[in-house]
Amino acid sequence: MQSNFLPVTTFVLLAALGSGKGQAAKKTEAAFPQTAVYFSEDFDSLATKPGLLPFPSEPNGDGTDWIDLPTAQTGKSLTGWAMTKNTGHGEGGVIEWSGWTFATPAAWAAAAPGQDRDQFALGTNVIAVADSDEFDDAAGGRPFDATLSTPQIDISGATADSLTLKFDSGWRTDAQVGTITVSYDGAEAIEMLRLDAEGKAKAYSETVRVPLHNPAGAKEMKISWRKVGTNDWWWVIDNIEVNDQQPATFSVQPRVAFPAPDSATISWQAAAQRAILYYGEGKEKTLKEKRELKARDGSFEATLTGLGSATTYRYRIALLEDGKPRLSEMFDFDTRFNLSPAPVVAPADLSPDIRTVCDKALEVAAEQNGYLLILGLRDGMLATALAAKSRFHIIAADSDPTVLAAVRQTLHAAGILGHRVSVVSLGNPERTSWTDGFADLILSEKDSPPVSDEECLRLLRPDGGALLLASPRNSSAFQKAEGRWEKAGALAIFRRKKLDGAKDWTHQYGTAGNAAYTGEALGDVSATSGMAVQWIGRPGGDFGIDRQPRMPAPLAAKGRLFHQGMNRLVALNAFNGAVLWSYEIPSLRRLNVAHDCSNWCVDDEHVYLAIRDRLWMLDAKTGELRHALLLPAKERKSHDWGFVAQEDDLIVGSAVRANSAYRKFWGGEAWYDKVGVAVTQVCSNRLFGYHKSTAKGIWAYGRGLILNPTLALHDGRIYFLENRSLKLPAESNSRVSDRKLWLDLTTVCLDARTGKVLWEKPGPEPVHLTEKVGFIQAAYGIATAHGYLAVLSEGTVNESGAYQKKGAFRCTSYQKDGDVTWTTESPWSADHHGTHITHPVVTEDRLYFSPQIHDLKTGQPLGKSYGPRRGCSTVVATKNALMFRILGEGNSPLGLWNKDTGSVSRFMRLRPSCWLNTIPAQGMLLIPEGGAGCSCGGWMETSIGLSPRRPANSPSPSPSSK
Amino acid sequence: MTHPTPKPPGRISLQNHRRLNSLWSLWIGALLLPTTLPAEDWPTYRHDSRRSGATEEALAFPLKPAWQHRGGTPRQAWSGPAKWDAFSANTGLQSLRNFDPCYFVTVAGGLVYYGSSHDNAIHALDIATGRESWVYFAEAPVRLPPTIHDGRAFAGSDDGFLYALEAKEGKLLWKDQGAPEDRRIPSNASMISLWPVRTAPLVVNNALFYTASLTPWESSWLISLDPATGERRFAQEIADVTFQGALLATVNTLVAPQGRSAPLLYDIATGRSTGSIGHGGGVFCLVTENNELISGPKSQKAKDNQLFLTNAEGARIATFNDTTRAVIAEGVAYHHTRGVLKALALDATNKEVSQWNVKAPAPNELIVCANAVLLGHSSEVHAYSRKDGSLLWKTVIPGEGLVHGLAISNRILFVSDSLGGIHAFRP
Repeated sequence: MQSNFLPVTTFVLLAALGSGKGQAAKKTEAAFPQTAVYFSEDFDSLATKPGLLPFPSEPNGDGTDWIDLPTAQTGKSLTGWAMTKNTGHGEGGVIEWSGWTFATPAAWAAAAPGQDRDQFALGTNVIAVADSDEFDDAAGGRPFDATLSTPQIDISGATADSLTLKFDSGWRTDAQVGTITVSYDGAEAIEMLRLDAEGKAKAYSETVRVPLHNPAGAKEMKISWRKVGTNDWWWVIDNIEVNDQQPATFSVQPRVAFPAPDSATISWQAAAQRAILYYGEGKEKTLKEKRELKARDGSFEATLTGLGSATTYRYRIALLEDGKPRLSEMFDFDTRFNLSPAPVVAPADLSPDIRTVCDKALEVAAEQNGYLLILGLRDGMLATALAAKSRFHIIAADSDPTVLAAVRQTLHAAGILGHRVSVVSLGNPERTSWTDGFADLILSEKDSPPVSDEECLRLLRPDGGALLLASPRNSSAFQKAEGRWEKAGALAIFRRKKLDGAKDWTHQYGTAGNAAYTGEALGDVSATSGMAVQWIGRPGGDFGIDRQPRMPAPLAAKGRLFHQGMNRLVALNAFNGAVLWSYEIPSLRRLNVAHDCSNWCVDDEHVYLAIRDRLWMLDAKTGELRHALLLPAKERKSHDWGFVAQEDDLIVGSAVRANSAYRKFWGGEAWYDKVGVAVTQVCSNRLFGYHKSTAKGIWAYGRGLILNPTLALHDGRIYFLENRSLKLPAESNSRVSDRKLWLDLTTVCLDARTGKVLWEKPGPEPVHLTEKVGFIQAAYGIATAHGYLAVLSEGTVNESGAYQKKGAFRCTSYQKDGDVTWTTESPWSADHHGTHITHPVVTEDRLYFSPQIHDLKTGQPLGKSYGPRRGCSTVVATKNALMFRILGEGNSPLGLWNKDTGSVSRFMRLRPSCWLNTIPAQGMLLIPEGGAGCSCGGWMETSIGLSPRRPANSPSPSPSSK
Repeated sequence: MTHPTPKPPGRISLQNHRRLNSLWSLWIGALLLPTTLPAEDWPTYRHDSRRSGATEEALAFPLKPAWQHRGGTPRQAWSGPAKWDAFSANTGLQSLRNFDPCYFVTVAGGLVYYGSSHDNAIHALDIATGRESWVYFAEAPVRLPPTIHDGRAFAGSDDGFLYALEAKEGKLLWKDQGAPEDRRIPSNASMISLWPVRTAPLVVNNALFYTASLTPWESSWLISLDPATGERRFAQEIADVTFQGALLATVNTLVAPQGRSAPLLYDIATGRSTGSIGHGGGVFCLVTENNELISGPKSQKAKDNQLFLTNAEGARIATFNDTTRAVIAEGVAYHHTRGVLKALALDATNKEVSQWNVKAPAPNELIVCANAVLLGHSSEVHAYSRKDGSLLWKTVIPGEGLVHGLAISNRILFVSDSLGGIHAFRP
């Protein structure tokens, strides 16, 4: 079928149904907004024109049915199309795959079974094939260089910059390139899309949309697909359409929250007044439901109810601007990550006293979810009231079996026993069975809790946990306890302070300076036997992407733990693992942070999250979006938000060209571990400051390419490595693989409050790398009170450029004023499993420089190393230990390395991610699940919080944690 | 109430034993009508201490809905498996610890029992009406159904205790704390013991067995008790294990599934370790009539689900591909693979002989009775003739829950789904 300027009233949605091999895809109709189609071609006429199907099998080939373009055109099909074998295209090869040819998906897949050709589920009936892998299976079959072009397409009716090319694509490559070019009115072709191994090595079945940016007054256009390369693998296309369906653009990308077990709230912001939300179950062919929405101050929000459990839903948004619809890509969310508690109906006959206590308790609680402990029961009404008004799980305890039985029956009849309220025996009031510091709030249904003051205080969580009493107490336990009394109407609150020695983990490597060490004491523990399980549970193995793709690290501040998964994030109560809030965010994903930087940081009040071109400031307690900060005006339309760090009232951000962040996670190459020349660095071209308090920008800086992994903020100074001579090609993103990046580096220090340059120094310089040979495997920057450490991890090559299977980390130490104090190096212990990109750890006096230990003041190696280390995860430190995968026993699980003795201990079957998901923070080891997906062992696949173990039979400690 | 124990192996050769059983199955199929078969209890998880999933009772089809009970949505101990191994491009990873997806039931003495992860209780329902006869409240989720033995109901809870209740009335007779210490920690909106009891209790040779276990870096406990008095016979402290799922037994060996690690073997008299099954993990285990073990899935390295047949020493004999459930009854193996339900026996030369195979959707659960093979699917139950594989009956389960639990007793079929529903069907 071919049509020129054919307005249609429905938009044809091409959806992959299911994910299994060999499943047929079908076209399905969804009532999406009206659009005009200027051209379409699905090659299916080759199957319907008489005499074309079954296709002829050439006598000397493999018998696969196929047809070439000239033959097709003799059958009066594909009129006006052209297929060109470009100069150099192999003159032999397997004839049916020489250039672009046409076949059924089944026939093409049958050419070489087991190589995943059958996964082009979107291809139907007849498809266009450029398969250099099969072409290469006979002599003369290399290289492959062929172009398939449309006829001239009449676009005289289109307004400028209104057209989009949409087609279904199956792509696999090792080192080949695919391009789409467009020529308007016979002018020189313009490249619109480039596929290569770096950007996308594998996309077996996807619908691709390419904005065509048609110029004003253009009358005709021709589109060409060119594939160049040798042998591995292919490009297949089908269902081509040129329409005026412009993609929706959001000022704040969509996000999904779960307010209740059966509902989801979808929110976004856009410059439109009206929108239509289409949604439906993922297993359905069409999006059956739609919701028309009006903007409120540029924001859209829709709450979907009656949703199924453990169900994937798809949704799509049409923004209506000036009567013109702009349609988003297809998004999805999964209700198995809806961990909202079941709602409870509030009792109608609550006494005023209970009502007052209930309201006051929820007002003073540090969080909106977690564990409330009611010590001493009357009839359970307080527990019911609290459950009805909050998302807390409530533990209701008493010693009297008669009271317990009655309360259980009452709550069982009300349907809230167990899943919302646990009714349990108090046991020994001097020493209950509950773990230390788990309760966000403790109160009583009686006059006072029937346990000792010491025990109450032991159970109270640090850093905000509240004990609600009728009046303040002055017992010795309270006198010794670290906390403060607060008034709460007629009641009194004892608020517990943060643990001594407990630190936050606010940035990727702990501090804004990337030290991988915050000073966390972790109760002076130096062996795994010193840690006990504080909580265990969700999120589990299904939450994340996979262990491999070097994801942003979890963060923790003020008793909250934040963790990213597969296009989703969750905030947990650090002391008890309760889910505080969560979002499904399709645009969230950023990977390969070892060669880029993390997309987030936190403080006590906010989560700062870079999503596309904005920085979301989320309320850390509730998840509500407070601000969506913009990039500087110059980069606003062309860049994404790259780096983010915060300190005091300051936010420092950076701009990278759009789509520079790594998002690919499938296949071994998405481990981002390969040693050698293919390493790329994501670079920013502008750095800027914001005030947190006003959400106003205060300065901007941009003189060259700033290497994102080297950005480090400490004490009002921001340090980084920069290249001021290398210019990126206009059409490229900010991933830089050009060796010249490393040959003209400048180390820069800015005043983070003004953006003014405090100092700059040339270097550091690579040892082996030249314009033509060598490679830098990784680069890092670490800022501390001592100044700045610039680290290059470089492979060793000989004069002809051959890699010598070794390399070294090299560090240059700059004082705060820019003077170089020392340089040092540490040889790689391996060139795989992340060992060659290990991030250094900097403590008060040591540089843990994999695998060696150096004196921080002199840079001198101390003649000691740490390990044995398995690699994969990177390394972090506490006062007394380093944490990493310990090589050996139990398939190398997570463990501790004692800084004093060098002894190692293991958490058997606990696997960290391949970068960093174990953080020492809040006086605990916090390990939100990150290792799942590895089929290399019986890993626990759970999130877990570990606390320093109290010695057996020891008396209840004071909550001062001394 | 009787409690079936494993048949002694008698060291009959595998092939002869199978041949005899195969012949017997043909005989029973030919001569016995459903109404002539006895009514049986289903007193423990998957019927007996072998977790065979097989009963000698017969069902008279068609069945009709008798009653249904809504128990609240199960709160599973663990979330699902990783979506994939992206590095290896391996999709469809299996859950290795999906031991509590629904409220499995046990049936004895006119009562239907289940444990609830929703309300932390052990429930007994009247078999005729589904009305609650009694409920006993534990302090944390109860993840597997009670085992009924000699008038007592034994169930474990995440609170760390094994409860012995009077089966008729639900009165507490005694309880036993698995670990020496009672330490409770937060977990998924519950306070659970650091040593939860997550293995369906097992009674065999008049000894009661259960475990208390959670993480490999805390000691776990394998405990044997006198089922009448609760007096301990042994309590083995075991390092580096994670017991979960239903315990089962061969003649002289306890088999303890671990979830994401290999099932372990213990001497039934002493609780001492005798080895492990040489593959990855999983919580589906059953002991065959020949004292062999079927277990799986193997691990997440395989591209599809697999069950393994191993001998009593843990050595592998055979592999069932693309399957998660199997039953062996009277020498015939019933399992589902690649869209087909199969009945296989071995002939005199130890060669597999297909008795029949029929197209059927992949089941979440599979059991057999004297005249039928029953499959639990998404919202449906199908019954196929054991004789020839013909479809005898199928029904839709209200709601959209996945059917994970099937049990048969007193000619009634009990269906448990992922939404917490228990549905009874009778002629």
